[in-house]
Amino acid sequence: MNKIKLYHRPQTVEEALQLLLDAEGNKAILAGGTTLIPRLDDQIEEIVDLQNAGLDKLEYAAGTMSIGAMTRLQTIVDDPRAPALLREAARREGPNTFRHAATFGGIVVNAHWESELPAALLVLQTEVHILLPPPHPLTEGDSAQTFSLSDFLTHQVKNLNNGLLACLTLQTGGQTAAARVARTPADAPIVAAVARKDEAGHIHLALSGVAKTPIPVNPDELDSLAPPADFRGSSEYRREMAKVLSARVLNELQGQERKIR
Amino acid sequence: MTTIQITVTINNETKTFLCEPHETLMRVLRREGYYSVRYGSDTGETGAAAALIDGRLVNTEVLLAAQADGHTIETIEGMATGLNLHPIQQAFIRTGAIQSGYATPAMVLAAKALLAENPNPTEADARDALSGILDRETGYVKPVQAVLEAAAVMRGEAPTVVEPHVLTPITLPGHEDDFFDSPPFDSPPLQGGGEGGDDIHTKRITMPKFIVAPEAPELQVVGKSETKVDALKLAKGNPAFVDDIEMRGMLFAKLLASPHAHARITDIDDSEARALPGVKAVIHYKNIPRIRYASGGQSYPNPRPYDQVSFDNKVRYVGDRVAAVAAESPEIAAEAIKRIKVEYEILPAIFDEREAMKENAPVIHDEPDMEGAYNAGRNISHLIEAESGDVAAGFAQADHVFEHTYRVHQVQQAPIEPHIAISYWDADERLVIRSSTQVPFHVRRMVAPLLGLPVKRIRVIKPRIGGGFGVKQEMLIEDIVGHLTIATGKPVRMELNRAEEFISSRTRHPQTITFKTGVTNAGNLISQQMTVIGNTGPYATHGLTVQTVSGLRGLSSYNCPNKRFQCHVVYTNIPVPGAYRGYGAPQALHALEVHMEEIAVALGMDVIDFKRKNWVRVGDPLDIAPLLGEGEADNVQTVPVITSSGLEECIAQGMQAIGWHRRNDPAWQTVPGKPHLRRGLGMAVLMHGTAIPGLDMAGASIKINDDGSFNVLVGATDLGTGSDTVLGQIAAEVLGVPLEDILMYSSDTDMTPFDTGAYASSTTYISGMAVKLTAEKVREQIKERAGLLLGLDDWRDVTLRHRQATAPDGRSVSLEKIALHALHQDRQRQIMATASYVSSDSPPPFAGQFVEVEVDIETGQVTVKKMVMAVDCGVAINPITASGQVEGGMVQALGYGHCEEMAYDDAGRMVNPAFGPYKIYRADEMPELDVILVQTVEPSGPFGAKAVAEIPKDGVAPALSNAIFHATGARIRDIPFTPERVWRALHAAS
Repeated sequence: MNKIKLYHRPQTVEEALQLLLDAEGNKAILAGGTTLIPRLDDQIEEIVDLQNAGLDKLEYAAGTMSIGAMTRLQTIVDDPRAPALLREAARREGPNTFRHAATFGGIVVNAHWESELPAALLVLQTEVHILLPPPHPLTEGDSAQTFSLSDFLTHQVKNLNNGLLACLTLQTGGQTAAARVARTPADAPIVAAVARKDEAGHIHLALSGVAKTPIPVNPDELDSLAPPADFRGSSEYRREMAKVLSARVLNELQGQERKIR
Repeated sequence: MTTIQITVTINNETKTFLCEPHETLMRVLRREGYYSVRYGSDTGETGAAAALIDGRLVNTEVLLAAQADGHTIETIEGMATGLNLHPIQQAFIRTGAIQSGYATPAMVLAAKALLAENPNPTEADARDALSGILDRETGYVKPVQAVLEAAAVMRGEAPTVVEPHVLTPITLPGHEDDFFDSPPFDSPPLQGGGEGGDDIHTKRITMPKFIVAPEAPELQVVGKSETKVDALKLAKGNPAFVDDIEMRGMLFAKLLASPHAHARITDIDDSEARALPGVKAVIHYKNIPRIRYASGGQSYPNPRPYDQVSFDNKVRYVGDRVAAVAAESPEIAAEAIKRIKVEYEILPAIFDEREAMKENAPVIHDEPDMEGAYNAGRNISHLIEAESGDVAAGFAQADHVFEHTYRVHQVQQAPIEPHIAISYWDADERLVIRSSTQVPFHVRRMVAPLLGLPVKRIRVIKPRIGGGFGVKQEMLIEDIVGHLTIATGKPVRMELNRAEEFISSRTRHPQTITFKTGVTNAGNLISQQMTVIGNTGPYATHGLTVQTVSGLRGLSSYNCPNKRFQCHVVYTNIPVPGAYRGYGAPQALHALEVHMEEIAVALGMDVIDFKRKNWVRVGDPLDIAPLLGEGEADNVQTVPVITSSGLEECIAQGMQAIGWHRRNDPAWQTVPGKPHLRRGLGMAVLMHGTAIPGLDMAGASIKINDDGSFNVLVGATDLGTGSDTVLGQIAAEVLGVPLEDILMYSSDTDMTPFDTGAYASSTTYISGMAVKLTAEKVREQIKERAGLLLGLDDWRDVTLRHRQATAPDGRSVSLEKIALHALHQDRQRQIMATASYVSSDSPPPFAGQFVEVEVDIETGQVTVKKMVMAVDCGVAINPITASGQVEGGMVQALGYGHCEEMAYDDAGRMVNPAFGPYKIYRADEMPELDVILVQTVEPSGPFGAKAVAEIPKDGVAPALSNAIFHATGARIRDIPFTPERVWRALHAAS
């Protein structure tokens, strides 16, 4: 039976971190709620809602941007300053009711394996900034643990080391392309491929639907993928789609006309 | 549990609510009386519970009430004062965007949020605004129109005048040879390209395109796009559905469902559950009488076998009933379920119908009291056989014989309102069951013996229903709430959650279908055999009748002197198939329409030419029908003959609207700049039925009120289809009054006459005729009274029109004066009548279904660009509701053929019991839809009407198969056409 006794709405990050430290029972961090609320664990006793903690700031600088973890997906969809790839991937993440509630922090922490948005974040060379609770100092730079999104997803930083996901920083320049296969136009991708050629000409490729989380991949190593299977796609099919869709986005970045059959 | 207090500004009022920290905003809003916020899912996919938080549309079932503290909330309750509706609400009514109305409040709020930010939305904007609100009813066409119309009106433009868009007929008597010479297009067809989906060609209000029959009668109310009689309450979100009442002391019921596909229950220990404070009853096989029944909502006597009991000591699928509890809160009920200790002896299970009859297959019904199956030991519930002519001799005469096998899969009806029932004892100690059902009268009769109550001690009330599509043609949970009310004395509410609705309610029957057809060199059918294995899951609730309809529909569209149907209906351990809109026809017509095209291709004939050579026409006998009635072979002895058909015109119109001439243009089939895409066109010829002849019966009762208005009481069950409106229009037409003078009430076993219920495409035809006959009787009484008031010797030529009774000499008297005179003044009597109707006919509606697709030949993804359906439904009593039925039905059919599937693991557990994984189309990914109503006048129907509700389900899957074949050369016989299946077929073909 549901055991939630306390609902907290901290007004600052410091307060939020202190609450996480002080909580006696099992606690859950509440961002948008679209994933957490339907699956509220019976063991959770305290909820820390970050809506007022000041984590929804957007900052733009030359070639980079920073997205506060509590930024709603729709905010980026509506922001013409954000990279087109990111806006489109955020729009594809769900219908508008979902995008009005779901946050970037929630998307990254949950990192659904078939979701295209984390793949887009990967090719934008996203870094994940975590704030740790006291006694760690709270000054920027010292306190933040920074991971590449790739490392964050691979190592699945446990419980965020009891801290908070504060923001994402990512590269905004370069050319991008995305392709996917799904049952219908707005369906979650079965496999999606996202690619970016950065300003130095380096190619970044990421895939969803081929591993436990979206992953960055080396175009030469697609044959070694061993995707999980489900009713929408066998392992064999997903691996083949990884190749087809990767070729499609890489060709698009290189401006090549493709020949089929 | 800690109670917390939240303060919100809701609909411009500041309010403070008490709640618990875990409670969702949806639950708190409903508790506080905001009933327009409705349950559709637990995970935020349906949008029925959406509200505006700080002006943005958000799903309140995935938001804690505590999260809303300090915020501004808007629900639809704040949008209208009395009868003064907001322009958005008016637009939803005027465009016909409301069917069941269950999710209308969320859609209206979506439009409000959009228009507050953007007074000039594009269609893509409107579709995006609606993208979070799933709709199983409208195909989103009219809701999108409503948003665009509301935007225009709110900008100060004049409301669109609703008027029919009349098309010129293409086929003319005596010009049959001109069939393939269609005149040029009215408008250019869609060119394809791009991913499409969210910015297609929907106008503000596009009335259905309409072909008028020259012989159609001139009418006042019938044939007009009147607004729905229940539009006001639905547009305002008024409490009208099962769950929208408050009962003091009500308990919450919860089902313990089987985790095993096949197991014997060796013991149940409920002591820990009963010991939990707040638990009031736990019921299971040990304490509920073992009474056999069949749960399908059908006429007495229900078709055998009687293979169910309320609670058994054996479970036969994952989701089967084990036990149920009633408790003071949903949380306590859920906890109690976990505390019931069940010991299972797990048995081997079987899921594929092709395996079920094999020797050594596990026997699903081995209980000694099993009644009425054909061969329970071999898992065969029924063997259905019918033959007209001599099929073997026909094959011997044929120049060519073709045989193909098709497999159709399992899908769920998925109404946005799941099953819900509330039962309670009334003041007379009679059990009242308020239920979301399509069959209130069948439920009352069927639940009585299970509860040990006489029928007269039970009353079933059907309020508004949030969609049914057949899944509510079932006595599904009413016995559980009844047992729990009897056990506790308290009101009991049971609502299936979304996952339970998928696995523990009803679904569509999977089938393996083999067609074998002999044809002559000239392309005439000479012999046709259809062999089916129908999968009825562990219970044969609609097993006989659905499969019988498969045979009837599969062997009726084309003339053939020798026909044979053989079907084994078999038991397996999948969630239970039952009734689903179309009822066996979508399965059969998928197989038939692909098979016919495969024959045409093999013969080198044009597919439409081949089908046209063989399809049935007016005057042709339906020779297999007497052998394959829906279980009523005794009632239909003579061979029915087709009395109306607009099929030729449907096909001609459909060809024109889809741009069929492009089929032979190879350049059109490729997409510039997208070498991986191929375009294709496909079609299917459709014929359905109208009601079950000799079985479906409806009653109606009409009385006059003081002001000359009328109460019309019908047992017919409007489940969102608009049948109350259509029946009201029929009454209004006969009685010479506008529709607003008709007060419809449906349906309540205490208050309304009997009706078999909303199924089998029967309501307009059967209930419509009952209303017409009743109104005609009332009209005679009014005319007689008018004669009295006007001093006429002979009142028979008095006519009723414009609320007046008018004598041949031109003098008239108002219906109000007639009513007052009859009720109060002289020779007083209540002007009233009752009549009922049953038909020996089932005149078929016809249709042509056309689709345009793009296939990604590297991934197998099929993108449906456009769907056209031209339907002959006789005279459309209400064109706007009729076209809404076609649009919504076509989109459900698209799901069936394209993307919906119930998927299982090896143990028979459904792995995708939620929307999203179970994919139904959203507003922002729809193909363009075009509906053309080809009017004929059916002599046996009310004002010439036939059915329209089910035929839209029949043709999308085969048309898609044919379009994919056209695009790629790969023939796929199994549905749905999901990417990997198509990809594998492409590889096999290359």
